[in-house]
Amino acid sequence: MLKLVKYQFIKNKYASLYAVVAVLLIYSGSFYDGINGNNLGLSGVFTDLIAIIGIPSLIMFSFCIFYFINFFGEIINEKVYMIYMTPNSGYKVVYSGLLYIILTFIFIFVLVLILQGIYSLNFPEYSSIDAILHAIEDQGVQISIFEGLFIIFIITFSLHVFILILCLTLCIIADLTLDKGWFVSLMGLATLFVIPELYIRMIEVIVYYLLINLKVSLILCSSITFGFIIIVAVIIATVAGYLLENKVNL
Amino acid sequence: MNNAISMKNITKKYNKKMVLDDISITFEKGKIYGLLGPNGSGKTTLMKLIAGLHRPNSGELNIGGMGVSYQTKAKVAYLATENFLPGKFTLNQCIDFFEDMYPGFSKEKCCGLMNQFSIDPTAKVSKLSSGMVAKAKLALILSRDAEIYIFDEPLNGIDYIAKNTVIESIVNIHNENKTFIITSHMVSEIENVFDHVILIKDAKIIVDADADDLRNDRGMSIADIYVEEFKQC
Repeated sequence: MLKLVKYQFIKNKYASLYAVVAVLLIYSGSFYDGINGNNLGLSGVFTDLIAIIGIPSLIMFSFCIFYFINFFGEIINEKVYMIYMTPNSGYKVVYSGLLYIILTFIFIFVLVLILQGIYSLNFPEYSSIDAILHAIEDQGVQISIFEGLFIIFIITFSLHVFILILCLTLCIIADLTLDKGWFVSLMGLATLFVIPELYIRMIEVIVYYLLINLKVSLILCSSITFGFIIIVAVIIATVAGYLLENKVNL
Repeated sequence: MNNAISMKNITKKYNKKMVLDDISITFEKGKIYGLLGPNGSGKTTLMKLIAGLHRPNSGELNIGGMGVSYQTKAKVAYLATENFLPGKFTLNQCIDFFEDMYPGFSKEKCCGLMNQFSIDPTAKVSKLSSGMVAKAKLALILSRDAEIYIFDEPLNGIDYIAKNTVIESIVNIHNENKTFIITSHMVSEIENVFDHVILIKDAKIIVDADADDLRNDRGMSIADIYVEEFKQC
């Protein structure tokens, strides 16, 4: 498995590099603004939350799109299937891709946390991680309902895009591998609508709590998001692995 | 057991098009098989089934007594006609990948072959000409230690001088435990290495015979038999 993950890193090094460069560019802009005494019109807790949640998410979504387009481009074109000729199961190949995405995500997340930490320490007037922790601890008096809703919107929207990509992935694999195009497309489309729908329902519950208690809703939102994303990713990767292992014609 | 591969009533369809129709055949250990036929006759599909890249719609396919799975890919070295190497990789990275993935892969042998073919291993795959890619693929596949070697048009894109090196390399690694299946439209250039010949036409096997017996029976070369059998295709 480690050898496959190593291969994924070598194969997608430009995608990983793009993600790191994007983070560094965003932060060089922030630092430049901080040094020149400008802020982005947003300050304190709100800026930090947007940065920590929004930046890694947005970068990872474009990263995922890039990765999956590449992945399926190879299968659709029946080219570059070197990895499928090796004595590794389809599950292993797909899981190595998933592991690569997760490891890159963790790396980007840690990088953003570090950069945001440095930014907060140097420009406490614009941003402060302490303020976030205190805000959550003190029931978030500094965050308005509107700001809280906006944060949840970003998390929801981010996850939506991620799930849509994964569902689309499943549809494409299924269409490619099974000779039952219309049936699979229909099932795939149903999945595309049903999974985000379920998630929206859960978020509705969180928004309801938000109106009562910010701390509870943030904890709920992040736990559900984390749990949901892991479960969906593992299910879809398993199905993709099964199709690759048993159905695919390269 | 002397069979390297056994196929029983194998059928393969793409949508409604029949590509292999009820094929039953065995490949014995230690022999070099020439799998010949016109374009679209089903040769590549048959090879990809053995390589584990395609799945049959029905029938039984065993490799060394095992059903085809990802595990049998360790026993089969398949040279595809397509460029299966990632364009972003250098050839050195491809060599490292093969070394990581295939037990018994000889890095020294691969570098030696690449040197013989005048290929720079530091070059990126995307920067290589199609002929160079063909040679690089051959060097990688020939450096594997597999039980079954499948070559789909190994002479395609290879220059006249390198063709002899390719044929020599195939003969050199051949022994009583290694089975070879080779397709080529350049029949006259490679027919001397064949122990056994299989002719395939319209998804069916029309000839399955020992190469020398076939030559003696028909009184002509395999290349002439090929022309006679497929002249209307």
